[in-house]
Amino acid sequence: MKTMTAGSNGAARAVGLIVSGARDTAPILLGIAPFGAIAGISTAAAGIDTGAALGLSIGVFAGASHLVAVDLMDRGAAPIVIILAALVVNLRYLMYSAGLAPHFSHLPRIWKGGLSYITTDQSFAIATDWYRGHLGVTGKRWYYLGSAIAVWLTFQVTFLFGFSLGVSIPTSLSPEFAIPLTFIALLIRAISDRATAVAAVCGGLCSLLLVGLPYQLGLLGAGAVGLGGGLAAESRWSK
Amino acid sequence: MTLSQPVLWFVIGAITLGTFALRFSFVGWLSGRDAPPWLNRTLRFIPPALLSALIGPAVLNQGSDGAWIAPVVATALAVLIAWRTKNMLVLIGVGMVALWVLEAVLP
Repeated sequence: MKTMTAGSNGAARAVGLIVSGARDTAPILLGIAPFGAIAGISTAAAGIDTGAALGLSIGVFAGASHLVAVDLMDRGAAPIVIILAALVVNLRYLMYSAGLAPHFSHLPRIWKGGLSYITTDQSFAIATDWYRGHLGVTGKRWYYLGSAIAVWLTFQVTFLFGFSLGVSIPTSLSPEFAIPLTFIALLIRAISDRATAVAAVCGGLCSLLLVGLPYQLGLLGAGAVGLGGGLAAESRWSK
Repeated sequence: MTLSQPVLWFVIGAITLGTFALRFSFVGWLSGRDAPPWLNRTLRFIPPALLSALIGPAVLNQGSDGAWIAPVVATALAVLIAWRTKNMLVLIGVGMVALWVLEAVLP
């Protein structure tokens, strides 16, 4: 009898934490919704069929790399270039995983896998911020789950909305032009200081020099030059 | 889209598995270890370097038959306005409308 009460209390607490996580994430959903819709429109504009679109939105579930992959598919890039570029964009998840690992270390493997799959920039930021204010609290997984499910659902629903809208937009309206415009919006956010600006200028100029290379092979070279430029600028200015 | 269905699914599968591996890395396999400091330092340069390397070729890819003026000018206009508003939807809206107008006006 006693365990039953403890169990139902535990369940109530879990639900409460899920709700807290989702509630704390709600303001950020307003930013995810338009991004999901634009990703959907762009995916349709690139001529990706419904199955592959769902493979990207549900399987990969990482909007920026999804858009990079769609753009490169549309421009006839080599498969290896598409895979490498998308995974390089997602390398930041290594840091998120390292940041989350101590909070999830005691969990069963299935939970570790599920919570890893559903990790996004937004849920990582919100949950680790909350964990800092709730040291030693139990049930961290539920808070994370609530935040991550809110992001996941918002992205999937708005993505599907955008995708179904996108397939009916005539090609004469050039809907695929939304892809580079979205990259610009993401780029403006990524430039936070002089060193990141140098990385952007180096990568951008180099990509224009290499634009003639087949299969978009120039992208990897230009990205590497931009990365090197940013690192060089940073080490120069920090001394 | 030039990829055949099997290649397309191979690419999506590889990105899905690779992305999961990155998300699972420290949580599932390297628990208790810290990420090396150089990784964090390097990672912040990936978005600016890679995104800017994608934008130029993607914009130039818009114009068919070398008609690059409309997309380039539309992009420049969108950047100018977005720099002030910092709003993704404004940027995309201005860019799209500018492209339509320029393509209709230019010979």
